[in-house]
Amino acid sequence: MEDNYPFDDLERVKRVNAPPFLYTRIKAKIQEQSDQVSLISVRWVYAAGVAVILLLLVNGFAISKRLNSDNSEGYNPSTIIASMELRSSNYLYDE
Amino acid sequence: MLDEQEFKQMYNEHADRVYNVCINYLHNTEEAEEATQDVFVKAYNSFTSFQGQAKVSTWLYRIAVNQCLDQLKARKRKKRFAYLVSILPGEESRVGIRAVNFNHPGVQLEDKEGMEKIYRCIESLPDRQQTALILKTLEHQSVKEIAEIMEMSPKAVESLLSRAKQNLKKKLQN
Repeated sequence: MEDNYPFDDLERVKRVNAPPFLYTRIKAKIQEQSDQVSLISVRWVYAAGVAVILLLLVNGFAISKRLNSDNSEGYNPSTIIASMELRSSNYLYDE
Repeated sequence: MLDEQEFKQMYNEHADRVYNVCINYLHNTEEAEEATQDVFVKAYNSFTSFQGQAKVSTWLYRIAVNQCLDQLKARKRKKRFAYLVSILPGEESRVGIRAVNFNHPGVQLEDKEGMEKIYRCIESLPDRQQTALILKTLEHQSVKEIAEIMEMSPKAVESLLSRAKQNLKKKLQN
């Protein structure tokens, strides 16, 4: 076996040129990538917008429900006094 | 960000060099083309982070080496997956998985068999040894340039090279 094997063999490997149209393909890849990035950002803007609208709707619904329930079953002192049979006067004894 | 004219100039100056690195790592024209494309896309995207401490060629070599090593790892993962699939029953599970052919346009036809063996042995070396060997013997870079590309000291590169050569000889003798 030769002494400098395999390095002499490797010396015989020729330099090659980059294939034609590679630059065009690289440009297309860069363009495709930037299109995808803008598409993703538009999607994120839509998603964020929908999330905010949903949040506002849920808040509005909760607030309106709370207001309605306050009106119908709100705090009424005379109802509580009557239901607990409390005295509403300062006369403590039935005299 | 690079404008189109600057990018084209960078491509014209370095495309052959990057393509040769890729073909020497991957020894397959399709994969080397894909890797070269990815190298230039990465270079385009990260040009703002390139501060000019190194030469553009050194920086591109570094990107190319990392890209090729990543692609080789992916190839090994595919091979393992193919092995797992091959032990499963059913012929249809083997569809879509094929071995990577040795296809190096710089190797003459009469040398193909012998060179394929040498390249397979280089591929089986540890990453750093493989890189040092390719950059030295196939890319004809100086030890200083290899040290800059690999971000190591020239002495470390020299010892890496001597270990790589020893290991390659051993692998070829076995």
